[in-house]
Amino acid sequence: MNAILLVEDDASLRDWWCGSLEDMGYDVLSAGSPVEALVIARQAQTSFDLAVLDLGLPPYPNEPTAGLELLRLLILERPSLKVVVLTGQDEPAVALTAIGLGAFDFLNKPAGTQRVREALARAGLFLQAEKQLSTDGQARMTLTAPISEGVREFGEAAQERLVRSVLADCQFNVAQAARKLGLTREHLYYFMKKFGIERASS
Amino acid sequence: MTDLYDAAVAFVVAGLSVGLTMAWLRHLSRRHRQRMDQLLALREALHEDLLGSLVLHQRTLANLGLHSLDWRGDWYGSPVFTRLGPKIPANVHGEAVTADTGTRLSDRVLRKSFEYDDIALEFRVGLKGLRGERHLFAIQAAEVLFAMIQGALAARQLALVAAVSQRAKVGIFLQHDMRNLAQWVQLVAEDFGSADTDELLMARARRLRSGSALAAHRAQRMAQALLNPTWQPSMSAPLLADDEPGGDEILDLNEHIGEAGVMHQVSIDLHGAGAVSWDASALATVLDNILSNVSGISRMRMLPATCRVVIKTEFESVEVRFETPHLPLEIPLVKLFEPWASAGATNRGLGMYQARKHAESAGARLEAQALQDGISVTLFIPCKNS
Repeated sequence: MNAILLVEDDASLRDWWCGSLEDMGYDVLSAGSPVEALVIARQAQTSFDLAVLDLGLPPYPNEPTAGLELLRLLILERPSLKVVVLTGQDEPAVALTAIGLGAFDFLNKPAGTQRVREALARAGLFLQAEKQLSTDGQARMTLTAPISEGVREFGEAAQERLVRSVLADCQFNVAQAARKLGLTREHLYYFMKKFGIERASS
Repeated sequence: MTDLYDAAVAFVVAGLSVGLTMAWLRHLSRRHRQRMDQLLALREALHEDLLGSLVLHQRTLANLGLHSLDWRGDWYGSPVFTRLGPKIPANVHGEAVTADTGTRLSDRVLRKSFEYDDIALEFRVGLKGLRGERHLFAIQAAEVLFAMIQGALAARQLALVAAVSQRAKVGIFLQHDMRNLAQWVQLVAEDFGSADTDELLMARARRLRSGSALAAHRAQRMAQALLNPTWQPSMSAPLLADDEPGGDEILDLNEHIGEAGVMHQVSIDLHGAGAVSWDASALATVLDNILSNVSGISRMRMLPATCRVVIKTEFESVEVRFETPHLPLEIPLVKLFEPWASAGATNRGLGMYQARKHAESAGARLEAQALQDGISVTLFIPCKNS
């Protein structure tokens, strides 16, 4: 069964979404706040590659700030995570920021079950394809970085994303990740230090 | 002998004259003070209905020498002109008395203009026929009246801004809750609509029943926001499953502070450990506001965002001290908890004010002290006796 992280601060809506997502066949991990979501992302025994995220979260449920920051941290924590944003904070600038931070899709509340189901199905297809590519020794990634910072910085952002992604795929097994990347362990440690990558505390 | 007698009589007469004059002046000043007190007592009435009160208390004004008063201008888009008493001439001795702005004194006319967003008024007081001390008293009374009008207009504008801001806040809150409600209704409707077996129907009915308390709670919260114009939506209170939103729970301070540090990208240098039975929402608000300030100011000054946090558990309270000794405070320390006291252009300046209010409403205290070049903010959370 596919696992999915649901982050929604409205308890009644969260409860109903849990039921609906279970009906769609997902194993649901739910959180009502950014802190709960981060704890799940770092400590959950069940691995999940999909998330449905509300942006209006405590301590400021009427603003997208906490949700966007959580999105950034979730993607940093799990680079392959596909996040479908489902929010009432639907200003174009918020959508742009969310997509820039790595959101897979952006849906406005109220969204029908069918739309959410389709968005999750699309995300699932991309995940499968990416896993296949990974098995074939390839990585697909999307990057958001200012062009004005130049080719070198863009390249470094890609390096960081790749290292994070492979480490996450290998459950932070450095030896395995180094093999996958064609690097020595020392070289991988160098990159980890360079990009400030630390093993998530369990 | 006669000369001496005449001199004595002259002294007596002079003394009597001085005495009578003093008594007369005393009487005048006492009467003037009483009338000024009556004028000052109009303050509240002026705040409620500025222009109406002036008409209503015309007699009080006339007693102070303000027999002749008029005003004209724009009152929230409507032209107004009112005159109390004799007409005030547009020209005195051939000179236009309304040629410039602000207060203008002449022997005959005293004038003052007030301009706010939707209000532009010009007041004139006619002093014709007043001589000596009555003229002076009338000028003094007019200046006091102008100051009171200015105060009433400023208070009216502030109240208007506060009301508009409150309405906007409730509007945003309702928009958030309404969106969630619409989403919930849509989900429920779709799920029931697509339940094509009795088993599925029953499963969804059970789910609906288990969520009914939360739905009722939400309805109450929205009704509160709609029906009570002064209701304050909590910025940090999500709709909780608990019957008593924001109730106390055991909070691991290290965990919460660490997570808040991650959220705000502030490196936390944590000393000590502690758990406390307190309101999770209040703790989140306090942490969020302190650390977002540390994060924002550090980045603005290109400094590393770090905060030393010391947790001390005493017998009666748990003390959590946030120290940033090398991060200069952008505003004076005494203004830290003042609403709208803000250093940033985009900051609303309500964060620390709200954090303190929220902490206090949950029974804690939030205090700030200067610390080297920076600041130390301490949260005192009372220990609940078991």
